[in-house]
Amino acid sequence: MSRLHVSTTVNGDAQDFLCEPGATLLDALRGPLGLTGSKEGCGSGDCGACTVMLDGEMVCACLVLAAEAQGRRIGTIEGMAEGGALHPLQQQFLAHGALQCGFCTPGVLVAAKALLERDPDPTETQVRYWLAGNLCRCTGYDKIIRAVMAAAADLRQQGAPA
Amino acid sequence: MTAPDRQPGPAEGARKYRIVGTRPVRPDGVDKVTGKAIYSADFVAPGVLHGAILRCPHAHARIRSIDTAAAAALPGVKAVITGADFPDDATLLERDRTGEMQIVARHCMALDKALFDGHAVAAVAAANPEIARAALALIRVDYEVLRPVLTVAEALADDAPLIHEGHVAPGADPATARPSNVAIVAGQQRGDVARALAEAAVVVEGRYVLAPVHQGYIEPHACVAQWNADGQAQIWASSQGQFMIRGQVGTMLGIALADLRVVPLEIGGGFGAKTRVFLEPVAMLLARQAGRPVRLTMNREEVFRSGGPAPGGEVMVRMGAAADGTIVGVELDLVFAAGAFRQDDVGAALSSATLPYKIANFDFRGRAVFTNMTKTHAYRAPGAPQASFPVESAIDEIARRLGMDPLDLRLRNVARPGDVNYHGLPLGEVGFAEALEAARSHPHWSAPLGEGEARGVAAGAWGNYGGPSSAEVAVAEDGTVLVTEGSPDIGGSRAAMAMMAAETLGVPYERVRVVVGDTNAVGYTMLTAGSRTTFATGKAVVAGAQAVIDQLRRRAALAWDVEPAEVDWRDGAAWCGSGGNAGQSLTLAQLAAKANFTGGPIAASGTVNAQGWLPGIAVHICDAKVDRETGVTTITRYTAVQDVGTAIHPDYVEGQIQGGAAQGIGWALNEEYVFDAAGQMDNPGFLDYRMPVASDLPLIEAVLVEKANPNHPFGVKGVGEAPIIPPLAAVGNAVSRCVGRRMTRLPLSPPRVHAALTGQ
Amino acid sequence: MAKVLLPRQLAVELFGGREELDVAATTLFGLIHALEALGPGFEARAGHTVAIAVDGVMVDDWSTPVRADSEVLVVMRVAGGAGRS
Repeated sequence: MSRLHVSTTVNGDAQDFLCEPGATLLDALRGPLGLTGSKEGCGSGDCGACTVMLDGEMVCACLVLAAEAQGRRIGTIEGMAEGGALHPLQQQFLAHGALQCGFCTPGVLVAAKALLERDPDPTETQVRYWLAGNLCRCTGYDKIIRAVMAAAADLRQQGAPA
Repeated sequence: MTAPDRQPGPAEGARKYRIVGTRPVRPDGVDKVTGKAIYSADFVAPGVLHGAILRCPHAHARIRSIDTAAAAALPGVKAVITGADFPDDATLLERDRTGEMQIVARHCMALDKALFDGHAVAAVAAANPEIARAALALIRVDYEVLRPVLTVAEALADDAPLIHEGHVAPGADPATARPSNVAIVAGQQRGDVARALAEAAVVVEGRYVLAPVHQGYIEPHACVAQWNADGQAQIWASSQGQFMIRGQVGTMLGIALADLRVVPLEIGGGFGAKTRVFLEPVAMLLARQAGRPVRLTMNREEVFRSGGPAPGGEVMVRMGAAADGTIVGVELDLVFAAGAFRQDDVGAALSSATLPYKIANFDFRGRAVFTNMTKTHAYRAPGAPQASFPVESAIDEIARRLGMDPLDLRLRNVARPGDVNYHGLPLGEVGFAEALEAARSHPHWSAPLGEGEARGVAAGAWGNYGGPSSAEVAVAEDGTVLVTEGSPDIGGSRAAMAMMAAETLGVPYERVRVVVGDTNAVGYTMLTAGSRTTFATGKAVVAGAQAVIDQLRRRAALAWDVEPAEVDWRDGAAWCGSGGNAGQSLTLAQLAAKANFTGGPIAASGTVNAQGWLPGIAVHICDAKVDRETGVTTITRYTAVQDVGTAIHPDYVEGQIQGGAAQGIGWALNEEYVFDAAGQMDNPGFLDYRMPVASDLPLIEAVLVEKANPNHPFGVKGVGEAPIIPPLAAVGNAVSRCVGRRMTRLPLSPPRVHAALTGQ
Repeated sequence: MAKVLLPRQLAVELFGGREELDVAATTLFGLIHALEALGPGFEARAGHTVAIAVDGVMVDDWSTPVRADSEVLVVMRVAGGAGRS
């Protein structure tokens, strides 16, 4: 079976790669694109460890075909910091100890950023339901929720879009 | 601040530290929030081949033959192996007389019999994953399907098929030569239980049933292995111990340990499951045959079917108490379904079940039986949650029958320092009573309940451990300090090591950097498991730092022309105590700059076989309400109290408590392995193996009771495992009150609770 | 002679059912050696699947002295999520 050539934009940079027709976007990110920040936890869209942004929408990269990235904009964890400056979510995760093994963290951060872009002042319950698709086994979610609420407050204070 | 000396450490509660007890950012934090950290499947090796494993689809089958010729001939396939490529049983038993490596090897790949759905029978390595998958499809296996043994009852039946023909449980009492599916027998008795129960004012009894549950780590198993023609080998993998991988693979395959270098990658959760190898020996054998490095991974389904979940089983408890609430006797009879090979959680289960309490008369018996599922393995306080659930439920029953506050009842029976444990050994400075008292005086315990809510409380304790660890401490020319230690960092331990080293040296936290070394870089270090890491590896790091301080004092003494005994070390500097330079100081940076002129580089090792560990207790209070139409339980408030000794980094101690509580809540409410009649797992995925998600839980308040351990320079007690023990009964006791019936079968899933509500 | 107490399973498996033994030894090394002679296979377990307490304290240091009136307790080691390595 011949491979497909895909041209896309990842974290603002033009990228292209070859892939099998059945390859997922997660395969392409972690393989030819060398971006291993998005993780495979289940391969079936149940854990959220591969959460990325596709044209501004939150998706599980394991449920998107690599070929579907053609001509579209992908955002991954690697694009979250501005150069060397961590995003307030990243800073608050570190300050709150909101990660232990860190494996779910990229997916959670991408998802949380997507939430705060839509709703800068979510309640604890709203944060919990938004993140219900991101499994974490280490933290019990407590410090994650606290960190997201703190980052939301930071961003509101800055007045900047997430 | 003077470096802590080698004698028993700080007085409880009184000692204040500069760094210990604060919450600095962990040194590996930026990598982890930016996606740069390299976990097992992220590792890139040039020229790597892709491995794939063929797994038996039957729960119990004899392997008549395996034909790999077509697979081997497929273009792009570079290696094919079966169980016959592993050393034979006699060799494995000679290399490890405990028999453990023979079990691990046969679990990694079957030889004559496949013992569970998912049991590996062959493996290939190929140029890409597609060819590897195609090669698996070309392997022909001739199975003779056998009747599977799926439950404890089936395993014990007189006509049960024998999973390990000829196996006789060692030490079975009375000793018998008859083979059976009983893998292990354990037990301990003290006093006269029959009489105690006969004279008790109240006796409660129950039979509790639990299903297997999975540790649920989000990172599947993965590794890359390389085994060269000259016999030297390398493995890159995440695990709970790179020295464990070296030891298991080296022993199993007959490789000199210095020839096998294991590089620890970041680990995405383990919780006990990653304390043994699953893929590494297979990858090694493929790599040797192919002459190239081989990557092997498990997908999520394989993690469930072929990993090492915690055993389910049945526990019978009888407990009697006097009218004043003194527990006078306890009987426990416990059977675990161990899975396809023997495992020994039974011993830990029995010795932990009543650890928080002083019980004069008890009779505890336990067995593990073989069943046709994957071999079960350690999960956070292995065996203790299953044994503690019935005990803590029985205590709850007794409290209700006697009209006593459940925490008062526990305090009446609490074990205190000097009381003996299950083995008859006296307890050290445990904080069991202090933790129970902290729970009792916590606002949650006396808070009013909301509409439809009920409250449950439970306690649980775990023995913890110490053991061997190593660390290297080196001073750079600018006076900053590098610590290399051997414990994989699962939940922030690098930060704790840096804090303990910085505290000892008297320098800022940011001037000490910690890395986790590979098996060539640092001395032997036991697993990151058993709640031992901050305790034992912390001791090694402190010992190394103290040895560095000794060197620094000697260098300063040379500079001042005094005896080293005249030099004090405090606040990160050497201070001259006598002679012409009395009162002068030299900082770590100043001494480091002159190191090569005063004797050479300044570095030292710390190695320990850490003794003096102490058990830790967790006490959890759970408010819950049950939806009477759906049977869904909502946890509305949860407080987790624990005696932690000293919290080096409170965020990570709280994190262990909250994470363990969440796992226990999942175990109580929703998690279970579901098998069909043929022994295949119905729910090997996260959709139907339902772990708690963010919307299932409230904030979990972690209350740290600090009763310092006198046998550690900073008073540390292990914390990681105890918090998974109480949630099963804390939730069970709350739900039982909601339902009006004692719930004895886990998980308390909605259909089960609904059936109980409607009187079925 | 030091008194050695064995767990029932190990006693039945290696020591013909005897749960209490009197052993002459001056260190834990010597005691383990003597137990190996009485129950072959014991030494492979010691420190792996079996832990030892001398006079009420768990010890891993086999140079620990054993007195004539010492009580030595042999205990099946709890894996504790620490397994074996």
